[in-house]
Amino acid sequence: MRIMIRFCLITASLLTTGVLSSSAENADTIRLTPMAQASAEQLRLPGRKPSPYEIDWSILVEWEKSQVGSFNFPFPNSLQV
Amino acid sequence: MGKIPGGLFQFSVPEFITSLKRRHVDFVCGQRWVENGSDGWKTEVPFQLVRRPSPKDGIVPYIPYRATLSAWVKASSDRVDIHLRFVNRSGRQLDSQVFWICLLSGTGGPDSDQLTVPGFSRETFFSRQGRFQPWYPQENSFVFMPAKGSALTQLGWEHHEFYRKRDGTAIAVQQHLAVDGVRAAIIETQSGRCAVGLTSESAAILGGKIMNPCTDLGLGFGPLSDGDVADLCATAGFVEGGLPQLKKNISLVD
Repeated sequence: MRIMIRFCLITASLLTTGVLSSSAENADTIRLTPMAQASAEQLRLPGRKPSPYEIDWSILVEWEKSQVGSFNFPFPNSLQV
Repeated sequence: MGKIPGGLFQFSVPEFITSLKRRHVDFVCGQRWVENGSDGWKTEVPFQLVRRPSPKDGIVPYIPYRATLSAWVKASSDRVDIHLRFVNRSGRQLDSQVFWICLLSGTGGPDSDQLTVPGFSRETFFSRQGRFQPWYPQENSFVFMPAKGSALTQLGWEHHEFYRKRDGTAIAVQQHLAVDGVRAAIIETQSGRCAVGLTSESAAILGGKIMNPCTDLGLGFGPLSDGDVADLCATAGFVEGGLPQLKKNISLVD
């Protein structure tokens, strides 16, 4: 048996830039935000300070963003990379 | 919907670059994400690595050779699609390498010991011959590189064999049957079970620490001649219904 992966490919449309708008508009339940552009509230959610690396490479994924506000970790000190 | 009370995941796109030649990883830096219209986010930058991989030292970037790294991420109702493009502009051939994609679902709180996704299973899963299995025994017995890289797909074994034959040496990997290119986890909520998973037909290495927890894939590519382009795609599924539903939604077919 082998695995077939049907939803891997991103269409060529990803290579073109369209009219700027919120990326959340296309996602019913999933919201993507690069950590470098996250709001103070979003950055507070993990309850720790982001590492310098995360600022460049991290994409935050909020699933069911309407309930994220219930998430409350106390603030931070470190991150193991 | 409304299944995840406060779930916060993180993708690292990509986190580091490595190969199956030797036990070493180089952190990637310098991604500059901008909105890509209605198609999510994109970055296109010169390929840069971190010279001193210590958070205390901050980011000290350097360019190991000329190359371009692009990435696109896009969310839809039940998945996130990730596309990496790497263009070799070094003027020489580059050996086969692996870009590491991390899907982090934990590491929160002041002591980094709390989950950022309440109800997320500490045990995560991988697939072999179409069947999900617990990850911990694999991670515990077969780990061969940082980020708990602990299993090779067929592509991974091909990379490994290439280095072993050409150079007479490669990362020491305990023999095991090739695995499928998927890592997954379940989330128990008050209203039922959900699942998340990361899959790619370019997967070469499976990894991700139980302790974080995270579910990671190393996407293999190359060798690349000067001017060659590597396109790598991965999909993360976010579904209600557990692993069977995840398998169905991200089209894992026996």
